[in-house]
Amino acid sequence: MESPYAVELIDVYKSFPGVKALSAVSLAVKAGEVHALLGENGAGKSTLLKILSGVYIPDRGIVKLEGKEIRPASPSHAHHMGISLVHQELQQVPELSVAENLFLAQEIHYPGRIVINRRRSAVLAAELLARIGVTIDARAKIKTLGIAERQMIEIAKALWGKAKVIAFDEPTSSLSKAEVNQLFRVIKELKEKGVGIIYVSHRLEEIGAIADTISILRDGQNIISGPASEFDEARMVKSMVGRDLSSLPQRADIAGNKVAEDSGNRRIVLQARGLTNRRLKDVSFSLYQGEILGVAGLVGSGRTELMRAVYGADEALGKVEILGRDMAKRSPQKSIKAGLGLIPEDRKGQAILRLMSIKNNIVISSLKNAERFGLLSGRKMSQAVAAFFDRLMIRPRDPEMVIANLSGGNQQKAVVARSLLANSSVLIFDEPTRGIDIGAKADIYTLMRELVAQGKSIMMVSSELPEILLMSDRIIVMKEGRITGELSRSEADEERIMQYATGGN
Amino acid sequence: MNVVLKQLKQLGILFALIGIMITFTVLSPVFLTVDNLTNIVVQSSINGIIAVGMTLVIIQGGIDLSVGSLVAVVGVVVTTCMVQGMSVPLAIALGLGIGLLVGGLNGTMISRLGLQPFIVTLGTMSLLRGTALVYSHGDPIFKVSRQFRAIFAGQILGLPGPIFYLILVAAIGMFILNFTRFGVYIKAIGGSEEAARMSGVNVSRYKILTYAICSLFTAVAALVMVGRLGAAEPIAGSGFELDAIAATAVGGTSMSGGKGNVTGTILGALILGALRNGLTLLNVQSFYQVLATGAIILIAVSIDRFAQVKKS
Ligand SMILES: Nc1ncnc2c1ncn2[C@@H]1O[C@H](COP(=O)(O)OP(=O)(O)OP(=O)(O)O)[C@@H](O)[C@H]1O
Ligand SMILES: [Mg+2]
Repeated sequence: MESPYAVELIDVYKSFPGVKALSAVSLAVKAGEVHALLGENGAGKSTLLKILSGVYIPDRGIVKLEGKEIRPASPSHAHHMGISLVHQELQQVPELSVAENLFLAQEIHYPGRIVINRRRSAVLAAELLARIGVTIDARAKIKTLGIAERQMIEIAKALWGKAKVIAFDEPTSSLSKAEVNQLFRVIKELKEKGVGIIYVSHRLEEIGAIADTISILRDGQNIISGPASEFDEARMVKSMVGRDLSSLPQRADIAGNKVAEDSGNRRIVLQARGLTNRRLKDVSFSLYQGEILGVAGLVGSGRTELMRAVYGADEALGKVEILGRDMAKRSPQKSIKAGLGLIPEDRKGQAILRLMSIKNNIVISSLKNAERFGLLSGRKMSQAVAAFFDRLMIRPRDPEMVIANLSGGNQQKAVVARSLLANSSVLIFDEPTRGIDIGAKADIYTLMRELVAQGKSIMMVSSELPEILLMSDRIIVMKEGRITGELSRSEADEERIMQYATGGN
Repeated sequence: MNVVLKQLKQLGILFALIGIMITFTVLSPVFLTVDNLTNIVVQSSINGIIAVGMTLVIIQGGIDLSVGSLVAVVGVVVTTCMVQGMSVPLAIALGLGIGLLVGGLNGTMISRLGLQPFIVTLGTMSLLRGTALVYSHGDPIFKVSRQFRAIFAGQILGLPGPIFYLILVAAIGMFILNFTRFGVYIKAIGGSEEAARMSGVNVSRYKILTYAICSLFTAVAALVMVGRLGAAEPIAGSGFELDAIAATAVGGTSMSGGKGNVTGTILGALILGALRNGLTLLNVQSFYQVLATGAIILIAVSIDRFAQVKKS
């Protein structure tokens, strides 16, 4: 008899030194269903998916594929059996091309299996990319692409071959609505072909839109599982957190900052004039004290490039003034000195110091303040860091733990903590809540509001339009490397933003 | 928890050292005597001093192949100047200055011009060796003053000079790595250079500083060597870079950067030193000594790797 389940994980245990990541967790995914897996940061979602796809070997427990027990020993082994995982963190070789990355370890050869057939690889790569609706040159090197584009390539890679099960670990954390819709279209196709889908996301509205079944993990244990129709957002949140949580703040609850709206005596804290480089075309804007300036636009519109140019991470022609100081030759280090901080979009590649402790990751930008008589003071460092563990709920609560061992969301919290501790008066947040669970998200929003109330100023890029609308006092919209529109808080809505982001001009 | 594991790992290297020592004690009656043990440390000191600097460079994600040639340059220049009448303190300052200059140059080319450390220091390695040969016309230089020899090879605080300088340099290395901002930056740059840059670390400044310190320590090693031998040779120090890298690797420092420690490196240098000493005592031919050294390096690194896999 055929099993109705594409894949089953039964009574799985997994521990890491000092951490019980999973205990007695079970998950059964039917063929042709979208099974959403939810839980707070560090609940064990990624660990479970890594067991399924052979990255980790479970301490105990059984994995069954179409009713038959299997023991995935490595990712390539699992892939061979028909299990694909889209990792939460991008797994790509920056120096290789898109096509080479897509077919890494499954190269397309000429007969004889020695020489790679580049032409055919390029054709197949283009087909795969077209299937998820992206237009990226398959010959481009990965390192020249933005995070969202790279995420789409990671998704395309999972579609290659004859997968019976595809697990998506937060595939949309850097995607904006257009790409999310493309992904959903593909997932529906896969469903119709009878593929079992596991879907992890902290964006609960997506779960409502696409999930057939929902399972929830908390602290490495099964909490509840059932048809999606039985869950509304409030119930999802409650099961994840274990208590009632007033859900995210609503737009109406947050009064726009009056200082920012009152155009009279506003003080400019950051000014860019005529920024131009490969991705930017003559961009000028001002940031006023005490405001949150949202930066909206489609993937590839140059938002991140603009932030990096202002910060001095990339070179660009044009002028930048930070707190009235002219930044002639820009660099991240000079920007921080002048009072500007930045949270990079690319967590794995540009934000975390992967071999270092959580503590060092948080204090790295403010080590000068942690010195006593020219020496590092362990106590000062620990004190500085402790508050953030509470405030942002970084788990596990062990400052000495190597950051690479944290769950994705917890790593992100540490990165946010770093830029808060540096106490810059102007902050650039590029996707600050990427991969962060709903509870911690609300905390970060509150923190941002507190910062501007103290007279600091924030620029925020986010692929989530609702987040931009919720937080921004003012919004600039980018398209193809230019600023195409500016909206005040009261004028802004999704429709107007999309007009500027896509509209002809 | 972490600290305990770390120490256990170092104990592994310590056990390797003890194992080698027990073996030689059984095989040779003179091995385990105070004189011979002192001898081992003295013989390991020059490699040890260089290896401390090498450890910092490797943790920071680089490599320095020019240390051996630098030993020769500092040796011949300082000795020649003294023979020609330069005062000892001035000559010492000159030697250390050459070290700083060469390190600064290596570091500047690597960080500001964005060149690969391997290539840059391969270049300076030849450049410096050539300089030493040209400067000395290929001849060794003798007649090092007693005053100079006393400073580097005499007794200092009751210790033989070489051991004193080894301890001094190791202490400075440990201090930098564990108690200063600079130490955190070295690890940060070695582990994730781009993230360090984005966090506001002045990457090029600290790269230059690391190479400068490595070369400064190498200059100290050169002075110690001249003090011990009472002479300088333009061909001195060839292969020292590989010995220093070997001590660093045996000591558990990751060759891909980001983590490592000075204690392990010192133990690594002692292991290599004890091995050479023991084999010489047993009258093993030098060809076989080379062979044994290679084997020990591979065994030590495999043990280290094995311990790491077990841990995770
Ligand atoms: N390699 C590792 N070594 C040690 N601990 C680990 C390792 N990987 C994960 N953990 C721990 O296991 C727990 C579960 O992590 P996991 O990544 O599965 O969480 P998650 O549910 O995916 O969270 P997020 O929503 O933040 O991605 C966390 O406490 C994490 O710190
Ligand atoms: Mg995860």
